[in-house]
Amino acid sequence: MPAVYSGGTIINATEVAANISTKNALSDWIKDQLVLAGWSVVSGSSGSWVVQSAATHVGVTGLSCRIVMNNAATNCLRIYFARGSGVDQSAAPLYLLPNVDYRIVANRYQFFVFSAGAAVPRQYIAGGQLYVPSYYGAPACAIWAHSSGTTDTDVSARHHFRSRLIACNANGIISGLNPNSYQNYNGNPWSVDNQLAFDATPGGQRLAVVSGAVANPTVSPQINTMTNYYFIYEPLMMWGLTGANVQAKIAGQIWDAYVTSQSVAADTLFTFDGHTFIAVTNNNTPAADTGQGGTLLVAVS
Amino acid sequence: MPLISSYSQIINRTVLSTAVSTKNLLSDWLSTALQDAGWSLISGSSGSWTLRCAPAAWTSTYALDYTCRVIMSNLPVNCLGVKFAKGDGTQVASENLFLIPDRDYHIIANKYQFFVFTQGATRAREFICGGHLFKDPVFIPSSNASQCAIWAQGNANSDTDTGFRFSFRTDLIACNSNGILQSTTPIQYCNYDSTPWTVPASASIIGTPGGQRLVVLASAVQNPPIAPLADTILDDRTYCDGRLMFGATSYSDPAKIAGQIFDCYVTSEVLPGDTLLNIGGRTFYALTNNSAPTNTHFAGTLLLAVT
Repeated sequence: MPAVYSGGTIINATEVAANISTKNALSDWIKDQLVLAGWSVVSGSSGSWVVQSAATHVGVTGLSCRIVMNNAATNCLRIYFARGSGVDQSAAPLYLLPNVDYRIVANRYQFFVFSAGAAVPRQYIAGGQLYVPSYYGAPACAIWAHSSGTTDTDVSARHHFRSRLIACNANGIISGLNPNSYQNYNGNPWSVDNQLAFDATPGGQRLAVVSGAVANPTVSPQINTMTNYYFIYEPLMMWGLTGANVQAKIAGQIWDAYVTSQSVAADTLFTFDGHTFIAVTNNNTPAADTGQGGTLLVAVS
Repeated sequence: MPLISSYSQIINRTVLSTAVSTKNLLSDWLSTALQDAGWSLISGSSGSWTLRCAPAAWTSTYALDYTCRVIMSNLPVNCLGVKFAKGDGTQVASENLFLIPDRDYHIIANKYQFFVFTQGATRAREFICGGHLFKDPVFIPSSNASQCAIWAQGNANSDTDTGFRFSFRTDLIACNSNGILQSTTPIQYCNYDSTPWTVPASASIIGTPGGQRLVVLASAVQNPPIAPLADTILDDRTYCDGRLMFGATSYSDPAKIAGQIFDCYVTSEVLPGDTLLNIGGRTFYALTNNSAPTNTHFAGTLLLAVT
């Protein structure tokens, strides 16, 4: 079950809080790292950069996304996703708090920004343009993004890939546990903005997992291999095609990444398949309210 | 999700009931088909052939052969009995799989595995399958002469069985919907790293979690919707490589991934048995028959390459 590699430069950089203590400084740092990863500056200035991903080179080719930064909020840098052309911009901002020690893991199609250790509200955002297999036809885009906050002042724990394999509640519906998110498959953009308007709808972002073909499977550790190796598989991303009220289905694959059935501490490093991977998800041991256990691993080299 | 190819001759053959009207004729036909697929005849005579599958192509690093044997027996009153064992002939299954003669049969075989079944809605004692799995090198920790990954199942519990049982001809599981063994479980043989066990026709297995099942894709939520809800956003089917799970040392162990069936996919699409599909230039045969989602266990189809 192979990863799909972006084939470009992988950025794995950290920055101390003192150097990104303001929204503008944080925006400059993200912009600089994305450019190093292969993104292009479209326009803007400190605090309001518009940066565009490279166009996909395998699978469905030529797909890209764009991020639009905004320093107008009181506390956080706001980041909006859109299609590469600039249309279909998200209605929901993702919030990232400045003056925090951050790591960015980025390639030319996607990025993850997070503080070390356990997930903290407004200290994680991720998103990008997915790999889409060529047999999907010719979609115009397959863009995903979510964060760990819902407002500029949010302090509540939420489900997202820094904490779980889901960005919805454990039963697969959007609820008070949802972060803000944006998704757009083939020109069908929709956003979750401070989740209340979408309560109980089934379209929220989540990863696909492998499972025994039985009812109500529990994954980790039962999906492990006989030799108690943890099973690794590709990170297939799911959401509802046209809106929150549509059942989530597979839209594409996150680049340079695997999902493992093992639950580990965030930021743990693994080396296999010729790459080193960092654990994005933190201690996602399966329990009644977590969804399936496991960890999203993203290549840092 | 890649298919693992056997890189062997694939036998896709049918026979009329009149040509396999007795246990001995059925054993002769099965033996011939397996030899044509690349298996070796070890010993025996009509009704009691013993054959060994080809050594796995990836084992040269470890100087192991990773083979299995099938041992046929015409001793049951009604059916040809088929037992699996390790390639060296040890660790023979404690129970027969039962295949009734005098039926129109279809066999799909490669040098590592085979599936024999009647077409359409297969009845009890009309389906057996098994072989040696592909063991992904990542799961092979070191050279270890005890290593093997052998599986087999039928769809019956006795020489006279007429009950319905979950098998890969009907579903993606050979246990009940909740993953435990019950009276609906067929006889099956599992052997991972020389720890063989057989599901007997006995009440002792009821409630145990080790029965054979395939791996599917699901949503990472608590009680994931049953396929086809894990399909692609275009409502297209998904494909998963044919990973097989069973308990490591007995039917009392939780089922875990033991390896991968060769030349196959598992699709979330529900198909009538015996449907042919073209995938990536190869023709695949729908083994599983109309395994529709029922809110109980995952639906889908085991697809076997026939070209």
